[in-house]
Amino acid sequence: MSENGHSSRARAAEPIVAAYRERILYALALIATVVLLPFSIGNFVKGYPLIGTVSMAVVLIFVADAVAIYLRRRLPVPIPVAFVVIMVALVIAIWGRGLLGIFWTFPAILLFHFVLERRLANLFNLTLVALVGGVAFYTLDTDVALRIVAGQLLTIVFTNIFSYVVEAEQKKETEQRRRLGLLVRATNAGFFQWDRASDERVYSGRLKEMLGHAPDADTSAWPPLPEFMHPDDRERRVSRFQEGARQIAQPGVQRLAAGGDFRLRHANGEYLWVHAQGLFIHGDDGRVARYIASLVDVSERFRQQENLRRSHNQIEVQAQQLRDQNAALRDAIRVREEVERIARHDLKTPLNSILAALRQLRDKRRPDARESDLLGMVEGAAYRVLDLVNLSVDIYRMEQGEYRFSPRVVDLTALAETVARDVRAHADTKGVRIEARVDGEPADAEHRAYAWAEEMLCYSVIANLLKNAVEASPDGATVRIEFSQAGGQAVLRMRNDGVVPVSVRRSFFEKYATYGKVGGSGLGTYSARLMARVQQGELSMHTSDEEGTVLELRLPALPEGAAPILHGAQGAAKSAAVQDARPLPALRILLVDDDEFNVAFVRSGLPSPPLQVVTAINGRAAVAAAKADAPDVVFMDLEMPVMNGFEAIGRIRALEAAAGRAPCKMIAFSSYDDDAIRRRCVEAGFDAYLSKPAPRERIHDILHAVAEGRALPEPVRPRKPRPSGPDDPVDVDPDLLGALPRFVETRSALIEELRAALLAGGREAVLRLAHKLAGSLALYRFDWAADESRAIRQAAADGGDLASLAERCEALRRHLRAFRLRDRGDDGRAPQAAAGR
Amino acid sequence: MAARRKLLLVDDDEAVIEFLNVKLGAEFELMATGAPEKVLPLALDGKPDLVLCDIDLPGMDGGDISAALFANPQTRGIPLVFLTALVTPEDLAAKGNQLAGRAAISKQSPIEDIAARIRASIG
Repeated sequence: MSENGHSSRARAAEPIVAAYRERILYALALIATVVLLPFSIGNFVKGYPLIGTVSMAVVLIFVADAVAIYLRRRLPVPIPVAFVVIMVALVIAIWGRGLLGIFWTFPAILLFHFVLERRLANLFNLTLVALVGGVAFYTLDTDVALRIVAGQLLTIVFTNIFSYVVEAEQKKETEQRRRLGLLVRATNAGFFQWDRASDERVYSGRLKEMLGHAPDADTSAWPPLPEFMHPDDRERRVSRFQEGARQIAQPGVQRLAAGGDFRLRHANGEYLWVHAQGLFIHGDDGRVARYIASLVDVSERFRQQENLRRSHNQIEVQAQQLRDQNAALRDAIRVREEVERIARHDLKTPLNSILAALRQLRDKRRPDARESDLLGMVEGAAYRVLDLVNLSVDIYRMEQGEYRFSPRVVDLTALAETVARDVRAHADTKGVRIEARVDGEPADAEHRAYAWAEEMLCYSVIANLLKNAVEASPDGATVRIEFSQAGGQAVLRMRNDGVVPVSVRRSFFEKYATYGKVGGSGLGTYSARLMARVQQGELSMHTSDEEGTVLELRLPALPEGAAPILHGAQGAAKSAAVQDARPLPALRILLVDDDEFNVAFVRSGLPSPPLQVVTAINGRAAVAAAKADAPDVVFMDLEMPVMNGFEAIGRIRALEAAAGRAPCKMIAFSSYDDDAIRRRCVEAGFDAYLSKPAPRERIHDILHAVAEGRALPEPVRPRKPRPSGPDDPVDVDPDLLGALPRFVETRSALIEELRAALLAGGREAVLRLAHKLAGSLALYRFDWAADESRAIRQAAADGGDLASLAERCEALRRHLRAFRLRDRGDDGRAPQAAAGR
Repeated sequence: MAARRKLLLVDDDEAVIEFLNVKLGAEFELMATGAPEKVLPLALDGKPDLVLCDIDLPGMDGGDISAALFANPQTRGIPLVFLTALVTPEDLAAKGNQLAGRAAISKQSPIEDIAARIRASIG
C-alpha cells in the first residue's frame, strides 16, 4: 500500500478515504507523537519500563513515517508492520496497567480504520477487540470488560457505517465525473481553462487535437490563447474577454460569457473556425478567479455557408443574365413588331388600293367572261397577299381578345367565287366540281349571300374551307357551297363527300393538329374557327360515312338598313336605287394622302360639283392648302412622309385659332385600326376616324352630317375615358338601367361597411370591400367612383392611416345618392332624374 | 341552330353576376355561383364551355379554383378566364393578358372586349 508515484488521476480514482490516507497518517502521526510522548516518558518515570519502551517505539515509528511522508520518500516502516507493533504495545499496556491501557484502544481502532484498507482494518480491529477483550476479562471486572468490548464493537460498526456512506457518495461523484468525461468526449468540444491566480492555462486533449497537436502535448510553454487567434478576430475577442473578466460579482457566482465565433491557427498554419462559449467563475474576492470555455469546431458550417453564399451569387448572376436575355428578347420582339407593322402598312396600302380599283372596274365596265376571269385573277392574287400579311399578327391578337371587330357588309358569294377561281385548277385535276347555291338557287347576280362581318377574315375562312374541301373530296365528286339564312345568321355550308378519319375528328379544330397533310402548319382550321368567332360567328364540323363532311360557318346577318353592295349590271342599277338619293352638300374638302391610289379612289367618290375638292400629298402641303383656302372638311391620312397627320392637324388647328376661324371637321384615315392610333386621334383632336379603304357611303354620311350640323358617325371612341370627377354624369349602359336601383342599394350598403371598417381599423376588411366596390363600379361605368374605390384600396394596402380615408368614403356615399345619368341623346330620351329614391 | 354556348360565372358580388347576365345573357347560356366550393360540382354537372372566374373570392381564391378544375380530368379541358378588378387592361396586356398561367381580363375593360375574350377562349 505504499504510494510512491503521485498522480492526481490515481488519487481521484480511489475511494476518498484512501485518497487521503497519507495525509491522515501524516496528521495522526504528528498528533500521536505530540500526545503520546508525555505518556511514554511518564511510563518510564512511573516505573513501567516495558510499556515505556514499546510506546516510545510506536512514537518513533510515527515520527519516522511522518518524516518520510513529508519528504515524499518510502516509508521506513511499512504500515502493516507499524500496526502490529501498535497492537503489541496495546496488549502490553493493558496487561501492565489495565484500564488505563484500554483507553488507547479507541483511537487505535479509528487509526486502523482510516489508514488501512477496510477489510484489513476490520481484521486488525476485530483481532484487537478479541485480544483486548481477553485481557480485560482476565484483569478487570466482568461488567467493565463487557462494556469495553461492547463499546469497541460499536465503534467499529459506526466507523464502518461512516466510511460506507462516504464511499457511496463518493461513488456517485465518480460516476458523475465519468459521465461528464464521456459527454465532453461526445460533444467533441475542446475545453480551455484559465486560472487567474496561477495564470495557468489548461487545454483539454480534444482542444489540442483540434489545434493539430497531440492530445497529451505539453502546453506549459504555449503562448496565451489570443496568440492562436486570427489577427482579424483577435482584437475583438480579447477586448470582449477583458471586459468580461473585469466585472465583479458575488463570490462563487458563475457568469456566462458572451459566446462567439473566431478563428484559431492550426498547427499546419491554416485557420479553423471555432464557436466558443465561456464561463467566468468568481472567487472569494468577487473578482473573476477562473474562466472555462468550450470550443467547438464550426469550420464545416462556415464552409457550407460560404458555399451557399457563392451559389446564391451564382444564381443571382444567372438570374441577372436571364433578365438581360429577356429584356433583349423583348426588344427584339418589339423591333420585329415594328418592322411587321411598317411592312404591313406598306404592303396593305397599295393592295387595298388595287382591290378597290378592281371593284370599281367591275362596277363600271361590266366585263365579259374573259375580262372577268382576268380581273378575278388579279383580285385573287391581291387577296392572297393581303391574307398573308394580315394572318400572323391578327391570329395572336384574336387569341388575346384584342382584335377589334369592325363589321361591314360582306358579299360572301363574291368571296367564294374568288376563292373558287384560285382552286379551280387543282379541282380540275381531280375532276372535282364546285357548286354554289344561295337559298337553293344557283349563285348569280341576283342570288347573293351577305354577312355583317369583315371581308378579309371571311376570305381567309372561306379560302381555308374550300381548299380543304377540294383536297379531301374524292375524285370526280362535287364540292357544294350552300348559303342560307337562319335565325339572324348567315350560314355557309361546305359539303364534300370525303370523310374525316375518326382519329382526327376530336382534334379537328385544334391548334397544330395536322392529319396527313404534308407541310401543313396545322393552323388552318384553328385559325378559321378563331376568325369565325371573332366575328361573333361559329365554325363547326360534322362528318359521317353516309353523308360525307359538312363544315358549317355561321356569321351575323346584315342588320336592318345595311345596304348590300351589289356588283354587275343589275347591281349597278340596284345600287343606284339603293344608294343615298340625297344630293351632296356644297362643301370645301381637303383630301390629304401620300398614296395616290387612295386619293384617286376617294376622289372618285367625291363628285365636284357640288363638292370642291383639293388634294395634298402630305401634311406640309395640307397646311399650305388649308392656309390658302380654309376647308370645311379635311380627310387626312395619318401616316405620311415629311409631315404626318398628327402634326398637320396640330398646325392647322393653330392657324385656325390664330386667324380666328371656326375649326373645320377633320377626319382621320388609317390602314391600322388599333387603340393606340385611336387614342392618339382623340388627343390630337380629330372628329372622326375611318379605316382604309373607306366605302363611299361612309364618306357621304359624314358629309351629310357636317352639312346638317349633326354629330358625326364613326366618332373616335376613346378607349380610356378622361378622368372623371364626382359631379360628372355617369354613363350607365341602357341595358343596365333596370338593375340600377338594386345596384345602388347594394353598393351603398358596401360603402357603409367600408366606412365602419376604416374607422375600426380593420385593414383586411377594408381591402376586401374596396376591391369589391372597385370591380363592380367599374363594370357599371361609375368611373369616378371606381377610381376612388381603387385609390382607397391602394392607400390602405400601402399602410396609410385608415381613419383619414373615411372622408373619401363619405364622398363616395354622397355620389351614389346624387349622381346624374348621362344623356345618351340618340334616342331622344330625356336625362334621367337623380337616382337614390 | 346550334345550341348556345354555356358559361359558368364565379363571383361573390351579385352586381357583377347581374351585369354579366344582362350583357351576355342573350349570347350565352349562363350558370352562376358566388360560392367557390360549388364551382367544381357545377362544372361537372353543367359542363360549361368556359368558366369566367373572379380571382379574389372569400375562402378559395381563383388560383385554388383553377387548381381544382385542373385536377379533375373531366373539367381539365374547360377553358378558364380570370376576371379581375385589380389590374388595369394596360397592365394586364403588359403581362400578356394572363395571370398565373390562365387567360385573364380586367373588369375595367369595356364589355365588348370581355365578350370578345370569352368568344376567343371558348374551346
